[in-house]
Amino acid sequence: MLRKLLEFSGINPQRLQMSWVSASEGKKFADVITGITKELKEIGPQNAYLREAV
Amino acid sequence: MSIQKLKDEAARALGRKDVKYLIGYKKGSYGFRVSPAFIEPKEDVDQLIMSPLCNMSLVKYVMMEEALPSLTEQAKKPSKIAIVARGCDSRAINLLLEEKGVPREKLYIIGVSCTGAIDQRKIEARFPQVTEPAEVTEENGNYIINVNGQVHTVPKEELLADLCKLCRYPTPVIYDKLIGDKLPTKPFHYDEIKAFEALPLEERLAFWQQQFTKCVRCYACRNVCPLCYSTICSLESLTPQWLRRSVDTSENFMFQIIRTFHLAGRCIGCGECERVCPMNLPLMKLNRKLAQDAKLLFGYDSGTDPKAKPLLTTFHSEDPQDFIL
Amino acid sequence: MDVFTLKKDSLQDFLSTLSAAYQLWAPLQKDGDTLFEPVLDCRNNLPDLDHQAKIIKHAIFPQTEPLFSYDQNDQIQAPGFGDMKQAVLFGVRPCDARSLTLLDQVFAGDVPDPYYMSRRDKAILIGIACTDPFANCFCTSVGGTPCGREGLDLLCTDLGNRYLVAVLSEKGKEIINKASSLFTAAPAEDIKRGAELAQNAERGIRRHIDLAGVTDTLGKIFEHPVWKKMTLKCIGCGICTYTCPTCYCFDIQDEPMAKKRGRRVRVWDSCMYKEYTLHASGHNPRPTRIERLKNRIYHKFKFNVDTHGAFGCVGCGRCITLCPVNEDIIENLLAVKGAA
Repeated sequence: MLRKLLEFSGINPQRLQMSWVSASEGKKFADVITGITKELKEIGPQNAYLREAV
Repeated sequence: MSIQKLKDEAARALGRKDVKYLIGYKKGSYGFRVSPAFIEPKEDVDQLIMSPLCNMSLVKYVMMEEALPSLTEQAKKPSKIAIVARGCDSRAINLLLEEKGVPREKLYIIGVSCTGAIDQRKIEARFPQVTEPAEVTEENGNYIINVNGQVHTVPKEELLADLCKLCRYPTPVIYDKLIGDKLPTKPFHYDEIKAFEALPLEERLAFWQQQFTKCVRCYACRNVCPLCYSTICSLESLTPQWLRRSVDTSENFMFQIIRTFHLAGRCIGCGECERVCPMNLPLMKLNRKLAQDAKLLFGYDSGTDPKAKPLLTTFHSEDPQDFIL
Repeated sequence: MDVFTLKKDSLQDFLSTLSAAYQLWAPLQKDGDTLFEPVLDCRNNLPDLDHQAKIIKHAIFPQTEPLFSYDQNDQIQAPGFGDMKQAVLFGVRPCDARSLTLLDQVFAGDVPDPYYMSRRDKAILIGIACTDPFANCFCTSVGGTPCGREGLDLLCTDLGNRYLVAVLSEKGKEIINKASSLFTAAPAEDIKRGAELAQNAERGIRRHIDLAGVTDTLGKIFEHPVWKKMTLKCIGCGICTYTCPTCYCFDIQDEPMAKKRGRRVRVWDSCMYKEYTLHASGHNPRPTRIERLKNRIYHKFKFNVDTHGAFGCVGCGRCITLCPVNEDIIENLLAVKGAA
């Protein structure tokens, strides 16, 4: 539901991902992170609702 | 709905040995306002009103953190408060019961079937700057408005609150006594949410960024919500501090999204948050989005059954899991 | 005192001229509300002078004001007040102008607040006379008047297709000179009409309360049960304090930012919130809404009188109009008087 709410507010839902990975699933963890990183690199930097720079 | 029947029932409720006071509506201090009324036993129930101008929810007062002090010294014996509840109010009460916020024995609920309330902004735009108290009744799809010595007839849909047009439970779903006829429940429809979802991502972002810039973080939306009754609000907490006190688009976004999410699967659509917002933010858009998702994803309709379990505390194996990698 | 005429047709030109030389603020229509904001586009944004702007004090006393920024090398950077542009606040109601003179008693007193003063000194106030007061206005009960001049540099009175513009200060004169071609000397009948409208406006105020003796009464009824009854419906939301032109309570917080920098900000706070008087020990001298509502009324109608000699209220009526549960300060003051 959070993902849908963020999407409703104009944030790309791909930026919130969830996966169950146990400590002993090393390969799965690496795959999940690599996959998400690749996706995010394609979407580009987040620029919604940014804090002001000082 | 007969106002006399309501007053009679109120008098009966106040005559019970276990009722401390009754929360209802009375005439406001000017124009088209109504005010909450806190009536003690032996006080006059004649001040009670029930009209299309009763557009505020009284359920908030059930959970106000400082227990409303009794003006007379009857605090020890009676243990109930009587409350006038419309359809949406009754669902809020159900949710409080679900979440064990208040025991059922604490409440004597006088349910009132509701055919909708007037939007304050609409009627004040139609009849601006009215100071003398005005009266409104409903007849045959029109509002009969008595203001400044003149009587006007206005079609109901011009002044009816938008949220009331989408109401699904006009008759309370829980009560000790019902005043008025049992009205049928209405179908589920969230067209305006679907229309907004169909807009491109950038447009949605631009819309909300503009809205969240207007927010002044007065916390009225949170304060008025009948379902917000934490003793310490996480959005105001300083230890730990989750949100900065600066008021800007970024912090406001976090405030509103977190607040909305705290109502995920809980909001019963009374619309108080939107009604009270001094900057006219469309807060119900966010709440209705989640209410739609609760229904579509989990088949859950909040506040319809006091024995139901709160949505986000339950898990069923059939729950959608396609978002998990 | 010089009085001029400005045709309504020339208003847009006047505002355009001003926005070129100053930072121009005006009441603007946004999503069905009237908000007092900087004017970014004069051509498409004519001021809304028919409705009461929600909040205006943020033009001088912003809701979030960075006090200074700091970095890991102990470099502190205060904001550059010298760079701030002069501001013209257009469409200010007499009550709001009066409220600034009341805020001055707090921020421009023995220890002037440089953040407030920098904006205050650079602000030029062009008022609009209230010839048709709003539903909950009660300025006449607290020492004000709907067409008052206190605190203003110019006062415009609507005469139909033109404004009567009275010059009330040197700053006001400077404004007229910037757009002198748009102004003509006002004829005697216009000046007379302006005075008539001002008198009618006082009669047009619909809500009154006689506050004689209320300060003394407050001195005697601190423990009276009237406060409990009054507070029953208050939900402690803080809208009254945020929209009140004379409320000024604030909080100061430090905010770490990215890249080893941070800043200290001053933000609005509200005495209606529980944690406003929450001590570090956990004790709270105003633990319930009763004490907090009581404090608000005391502050405005007793403490301010004792300290500064005037009610801390200008009778704008916003707290009454915008309170979601119909807490009405006039009703509350009547209850106070009744408790004497």
